[in-house]
Amino acid sequence: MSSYATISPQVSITFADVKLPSTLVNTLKGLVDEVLITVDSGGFRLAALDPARVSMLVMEIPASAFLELRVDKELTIGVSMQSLELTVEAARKTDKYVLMSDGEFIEVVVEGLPTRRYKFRSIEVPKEIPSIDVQYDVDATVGLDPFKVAIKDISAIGSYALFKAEDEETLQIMEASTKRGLARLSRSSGSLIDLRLSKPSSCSYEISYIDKALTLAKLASQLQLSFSSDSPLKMIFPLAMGGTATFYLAPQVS
Amino acid sequence: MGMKIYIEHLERDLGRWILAEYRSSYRLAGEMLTITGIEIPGLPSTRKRFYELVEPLKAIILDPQAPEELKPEDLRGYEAIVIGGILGAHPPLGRTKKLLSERFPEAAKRNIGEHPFPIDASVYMALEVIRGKRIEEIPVALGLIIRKRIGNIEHEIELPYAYPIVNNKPLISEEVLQIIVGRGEYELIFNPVPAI
Repeated sequence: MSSYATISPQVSITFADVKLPSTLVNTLKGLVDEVLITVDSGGFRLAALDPARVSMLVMEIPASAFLELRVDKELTIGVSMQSLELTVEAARKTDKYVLMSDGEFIEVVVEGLPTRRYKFRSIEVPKEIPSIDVQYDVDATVGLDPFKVAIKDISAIGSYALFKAEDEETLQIMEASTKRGLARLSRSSGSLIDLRLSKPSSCSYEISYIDKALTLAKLASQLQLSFSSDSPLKMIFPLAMGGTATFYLAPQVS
Repeated sequence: MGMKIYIEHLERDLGRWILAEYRSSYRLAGEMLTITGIEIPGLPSTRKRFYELVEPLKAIILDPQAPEELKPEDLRGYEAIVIGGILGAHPPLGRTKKLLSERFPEAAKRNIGEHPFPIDASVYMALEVIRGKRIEEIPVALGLIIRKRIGNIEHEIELPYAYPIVNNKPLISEEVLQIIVGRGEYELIFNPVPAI
């Protein structure tokens, strides 16, 4: 009974469980109103831009990461966050999550006990997602746990975090205005896995957005950070299931 | 002594859904029912296991995997029908067989159709057989769809169980529906067929 679709899907993606869809919803909830999903034979791509255009998430997952991916025709669909939120609301961890679309409608089947089916129209979403073409001066790979602790500590002091790298040994993160709550992620402590620097750089970013992005940490084991002075922050989460989630955040306006 | 119905609680926890099915079972069977293996305030229940209350030799375990179906004449010489207090899985995991049938080889085993029934529906089927009905005389719905609308979203909930049809409706308690569907209006979609 659970495997049928009421639409004739042109694309169908099966996630082994609801972990990724619910993490995605938790990350984007309150941040964006809609997402743009593209599915082709290579895999799945999701792009979401917040209305204030301060942050953007791009998630790319290869076809091999899914339990099943069927594509009769490449599709790009707009999905409202409200609908997406509803599909994961009652889901249990082990439920299978199937997303299908015929272009006009989206049908989500959450297979479990009970199996829940949601059908809604795809919405018009601007297909042009801004491309962020920045030459970053700092590229760092950090351990997720020390980074999360640093952000949590700084969030207790202020709203902006200053990222600073002066050499390839240490990444400093501190509260932007008072410079308190300094966290040093270093190679020697193991909290910094790698850092490449072409120019000493520092830049401040709003913590509430970083905190939101860190919801994606559930799906990854490390984090790649890129920034330059007066440039957006790029946070790349290499996903355990395959693929990446990349979060871009505009710098603090001084 | 009249026939007793025991629901042997086999889940680790007592969740809202299973509790609602136990309450519904009590409304159907009244004092004939005892829930064993757990004490639940407000329901006829005991921490004792069913085999402490009846000799397994005098019990019939309802197991979907049992080869023979339950018939009114089977009840002669038996004192109790035992139903597994299990919140099913889809596809079924055969836990009644593992946790009850195989542990009590001396007990008789019967099915009430090849499809899994919710606990309260199993109680209803057992009661109907006790009253002299044959399984094939009891209409059931195989699978139940609950359809509702949330704004612009069509939402369907599929329950892969068999439900006896009582008063032209599948037997599912309001309390269970409330847990699954939440608030708002809904429509029940089902297709009545004979249980066997």
